[in-house]
Amino acid sequence: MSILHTVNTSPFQTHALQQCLSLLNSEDCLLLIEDAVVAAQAQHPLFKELSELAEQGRLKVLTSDLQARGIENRIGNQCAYADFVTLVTEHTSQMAW
Amino acid sequence: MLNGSLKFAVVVSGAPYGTQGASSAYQFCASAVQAGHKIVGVFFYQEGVLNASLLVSPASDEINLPSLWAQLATAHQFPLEVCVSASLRRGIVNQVEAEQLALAQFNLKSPFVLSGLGQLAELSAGADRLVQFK
Repeated sequence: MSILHTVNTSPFQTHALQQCLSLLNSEDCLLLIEDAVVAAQAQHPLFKELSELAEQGRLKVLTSDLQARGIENRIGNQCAYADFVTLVTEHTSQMAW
Repeated sequence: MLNGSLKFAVVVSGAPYGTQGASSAYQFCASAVQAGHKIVGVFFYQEGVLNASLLVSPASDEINLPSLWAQLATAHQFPLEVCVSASLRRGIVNQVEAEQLALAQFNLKSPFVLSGLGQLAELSAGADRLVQFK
C-alpha cells in the first residue's frame, strides 16, 4: 500500500507541498508537477525535507514542467510523462494535492 | 502487475486554459495509451467541464485542447464524461438539455457526453488506478 502524491502548486503559492510532506508515509513517493517544480530548486523552508526525500529516491520532478520554467533540476529524479505513468502503476493509488 | 497493462480512470477538474491541469491530464493520457495501458474513461468535473466546449477557438498556432481530447478519445475508444450539473452552471449544454431548457444553442463537443457523479464512481470501480489532475 503506497501512494503517489502529486503536487502542482508552488510552495510560495499554497501550503499543498507542506501539508503533503507532513502526511507522507515511508513507502510513498512525491512527484512535483506544474508550478510545484520550483520547489526542486529554490531555497525555501521545505528544501531540507525535500532533499532528504530525494536522497531516498522518493522525490520525482516532471522534466517538461522544469524546462517550461527554465529551471535546472537540483534535487530529485527527473521524469518524463512516460515515467509518470509508470509511477502511477507502481503505487496503489495517486493523490492530487 | 507492475509491468502489465492497467486500466486508468482520469479526473480532470481544471479548465483548458488558464491553469495547466487539463493539459497535464491530456499528456498523461496520451503517454498511458502509448505505453499500452487502457483509459477506461476521463471524467471532467468542476472547471474541467470547459474542456468539452465546441466553441473553444484558440489562434491557429495554439493547441486546441478540446479537439485534442476528442481525437485521443476517438482513436483509443474511451468515453469523455462531463458532469452535467457542473456543465449547466458553466454554460456547457448538449442538444437535449438545450431543448429542455429552451436555450437557443447547444455547445457540447462530440464525443463528450454529459453524465453524473455516479458515472465517476463506475469509472473508478472499473479501473485499476484513478488519477486526478486539478
